[in-house]
Amino acid sequence: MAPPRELIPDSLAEILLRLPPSDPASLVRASAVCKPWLRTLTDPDFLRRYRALHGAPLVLGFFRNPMNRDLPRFVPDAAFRQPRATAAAPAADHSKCHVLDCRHGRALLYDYGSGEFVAWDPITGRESRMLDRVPDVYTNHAVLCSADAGCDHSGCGGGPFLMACVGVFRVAFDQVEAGLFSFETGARRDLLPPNDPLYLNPLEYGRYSLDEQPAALVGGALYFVGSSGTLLRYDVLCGRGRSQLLSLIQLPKKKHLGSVVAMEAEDGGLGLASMYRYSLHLWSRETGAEGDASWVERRVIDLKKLLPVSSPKSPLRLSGFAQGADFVLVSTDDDAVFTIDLKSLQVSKVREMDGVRRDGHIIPYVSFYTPAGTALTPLCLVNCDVWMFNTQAYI
Amino acid sequence: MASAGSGDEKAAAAAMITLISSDNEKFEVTEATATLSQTIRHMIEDGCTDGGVPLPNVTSKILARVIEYCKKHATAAAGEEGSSSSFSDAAFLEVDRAFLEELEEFDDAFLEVDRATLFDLILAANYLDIKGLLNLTCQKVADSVKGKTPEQIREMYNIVNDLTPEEEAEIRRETQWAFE
Repeated sequence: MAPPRELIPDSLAEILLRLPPSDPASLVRASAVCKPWLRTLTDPDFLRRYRALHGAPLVLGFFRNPMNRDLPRFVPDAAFRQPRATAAAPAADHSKCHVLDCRHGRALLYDYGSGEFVAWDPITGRESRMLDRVPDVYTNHAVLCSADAGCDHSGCGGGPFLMACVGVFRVAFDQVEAGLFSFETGARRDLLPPNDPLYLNPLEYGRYSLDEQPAALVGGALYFVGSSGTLLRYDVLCGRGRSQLLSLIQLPKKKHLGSVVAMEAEDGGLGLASMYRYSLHLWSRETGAEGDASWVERRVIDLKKLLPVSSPKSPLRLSGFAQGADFVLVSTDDDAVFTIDLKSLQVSKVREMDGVRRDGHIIPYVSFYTPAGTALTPLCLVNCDVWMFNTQAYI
Repeated sequence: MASAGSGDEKAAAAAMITLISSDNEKFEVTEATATLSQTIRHMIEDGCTDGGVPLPNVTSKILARVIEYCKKHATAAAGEEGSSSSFSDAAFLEVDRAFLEELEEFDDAFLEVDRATLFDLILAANYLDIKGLLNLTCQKVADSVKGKTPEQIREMYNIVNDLTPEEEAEIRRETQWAFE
């Protein structure tokens, strides 16, 4: 029998595309077969196709801030394991870290021990640190990929990224301020002049404050949940042709709105989930014919039938959402955390989520585990600064 | 060689296409069968099929198998005219359950080939742009790779490891967990 013919690159991609995202180890092992396989699996075009084919990315784990500081900040899902620490790449110590945000494949943490912001990619275990020279006025921080709009974030994990911050400055009037920082240099990267705060009337908003929950990134703007029934919109990436960097959006007028999380709606626009007792309400922001925007209640989901909660008095709260994977996280008072898939309404219990503060937020890590992050940047892993810059070309 | 079946009406008989393999063997197939291949569909649309369609990349052995697949699936494909092909199209076909099961059984049996044939089928499916066959054969290879070590994969498919020891060590070091 003649030996099998060599597969042309097209066919090889067709085969490797069909390795399931639920089995990340197979993808990694395939990348170690030979150069053509490695090249295919790390090719940006391939990764775009892979993402398009397999739809919603997977939840690979959850970030949390446990009360016991010795517990890990990241709880990986069963199919995913973190890289093992070696002498050359020791495991990072996150025992003094507080998880702030997670987006585009990396988590943003604050290390109280060293006074640094930490951007951490749990897939590769790499992290990058930025000394905290960020003004104290900023209380809420978000991390995001700084690549152009063309990036689908399927393989930009090592690339350049930004930290967006907002906070309330308290003078006679409360004023909300925002700033954008490059994580590589620590320098300001604002697209609009930063000295453009949003002044708030105390009669209307009282002492304004922002919720600790991570922001939602929708259409180039970050949305933070604020007090007085508002969402704070920070037009972080757009800016072009828009005069207003910061604005407030009123939450839906409803008697018992309950806990809320801002999220991406099904149509890709701004959405909101609210939960009161056992009722989960999904909203989307619609713009009317005359340009006036309002909230439209899209769905009401009765969780009583879905959640295996024994005591009807057990209060539930929304504790997070997964951008790109279309689910919300619901916690009960006995430390159990459930994910609710908004498409299939499938409910799953999240493992090992005990020890999170009652009002603490849980941040899902949503990504495709492809070997891209490792294979593209061979031999320059020791120096974080080097790989951060070297991978720019790849985005 | 392969004939188009006995009960065809005159209209169908008129729409026969001759496919010519690399070893110059001629296969007569119906247009419905042939147009499962997007490549041939475009040739028919462009009116370039008179005198037969030469397929210099496909041997008679492989072409016979490809035609076998296309004949079986042409009936199913008739129901999804106009819909774009994707991996899960089969799930939405409004044909009865028994037929789908039969089709699945056919596909399973169809894939019982040696690896050389499987690779040749992938190359032919790619060249002829037959989405269903490409999906079927590529999925088979992808499934066979699951759970295997790089060494086992190389052995299965006669692949030469051209990674430098440094490159391989790098991949393994960063993702040791995947190799345990």
